Amino acid sequence: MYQRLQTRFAKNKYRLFIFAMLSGASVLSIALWRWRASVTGSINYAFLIWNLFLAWIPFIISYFTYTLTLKRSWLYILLPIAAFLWLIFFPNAPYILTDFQHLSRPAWQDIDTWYDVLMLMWFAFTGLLLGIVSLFMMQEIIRREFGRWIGWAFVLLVTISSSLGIYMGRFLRWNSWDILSHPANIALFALQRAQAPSAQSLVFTGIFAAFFLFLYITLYAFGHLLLERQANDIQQQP
Amino acid sequence: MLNRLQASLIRHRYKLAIFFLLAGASVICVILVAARIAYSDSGRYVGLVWNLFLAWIPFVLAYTAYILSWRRALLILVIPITTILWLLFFPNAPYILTDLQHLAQESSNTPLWYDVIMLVWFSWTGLLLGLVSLYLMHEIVHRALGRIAGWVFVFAVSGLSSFGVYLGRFVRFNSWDILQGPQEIAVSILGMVIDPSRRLVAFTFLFTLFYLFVYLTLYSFGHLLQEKGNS
Repeated sequence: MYQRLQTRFAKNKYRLFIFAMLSGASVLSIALWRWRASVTGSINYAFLIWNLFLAWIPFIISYFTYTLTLKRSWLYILLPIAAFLWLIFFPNAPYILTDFQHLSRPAWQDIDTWYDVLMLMWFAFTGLLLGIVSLFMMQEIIRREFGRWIGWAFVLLVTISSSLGIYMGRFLRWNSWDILSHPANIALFALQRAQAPSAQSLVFTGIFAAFFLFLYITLYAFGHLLLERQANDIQQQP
Repeated sequence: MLNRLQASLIRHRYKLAIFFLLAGASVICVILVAARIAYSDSGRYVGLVWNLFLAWIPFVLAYTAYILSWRRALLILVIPITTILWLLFFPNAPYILTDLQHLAQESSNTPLWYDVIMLVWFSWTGLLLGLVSLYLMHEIVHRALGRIAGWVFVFAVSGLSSFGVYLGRFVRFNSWDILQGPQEIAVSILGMVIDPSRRLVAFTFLFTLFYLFVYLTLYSFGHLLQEKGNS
């Protein structure tokens, strides 16, 4: 029993390490906000904590789905529901990047600018990395079941739809759960907007989707760099 | 000959992919600034292009060092010089992150969201250029001196480069200042280290932690792909 637990830990040690790193980063982000609040006596930027919490939801969903879908019988029941919920909440992770815009509010500049920049960097990058890792886990599930190409098609689809989702959150002020509470209104409104999209929505979604895709592919390639090293090491041994 | 070239291309295909991805991202960054100039008729944020160029220098140095270091004879000759140059220019890569502060003096001639997304593009391209070049150097040290030395190197560089970012941002030093007047620079840095301001300590500490967090997370993300390969 104990030994089995141990081998499991060893087998998943990098996944656990990432989990620990992201948790630590979240704690530190919140600590940075707390310190800011105690120095300035204001609660500016408090919503960052809420946004970070929302960014954890897709991560947790994909983490559990990843583990549970290793059993085949679970896959077909669980995957559709989990994937749907995950997709709704996923845009919250990269969304924090857009919170940088609050730097321009004169009323909120009650502490040195560099401190706010650093604090926002901690929040935004933690959120973004939560998103990247959770997307990777979902891609893995899809790839395991349906093959490599469908896995990448999934990534592309998620990138585009989540960029649209961020647009809806930032400019139309929608929340993930709106789609559950009044789906018909949302669908109708989205359809109307889609028929005559504004220049703003197209440019924003396009640039954001390109950014996210670039980041994801670069990190994916960076990961394979480590594999490349291993392969080369093996080759060079006489 | 052709065969060998092909084999080596395949063997290093991810390194090449990263090179092309970062080059492509840099082109997009420049296009974003050009579009901003065309739209607003103001030269604001042109400095970002220069900063991005500077962020490429350590990447190119690390890339060259990495290739040269396969030959042991070259290793001892070339590596010390490249490492010093690399270390001098390395802070330029994470430095772009601090350019996000320009959002605080926002001008009204372009939509705010455009500037945010443009700065996000620049800062991530710079950061990734830094991370990949740090990884290449990490590899060289790891190979030559072992695993622990490799990690000590990463921690030392993170701390030093955060201090370097501080020097660039607040004291307005450039990488090449140290080549022009090393004595003055050394004296003024020594003065700062002996009697550090709170800002210096807080900024350097938080930036170092941040950089290590990103590096370690991406490093284990890379190993996550490996875990997948094993199963």
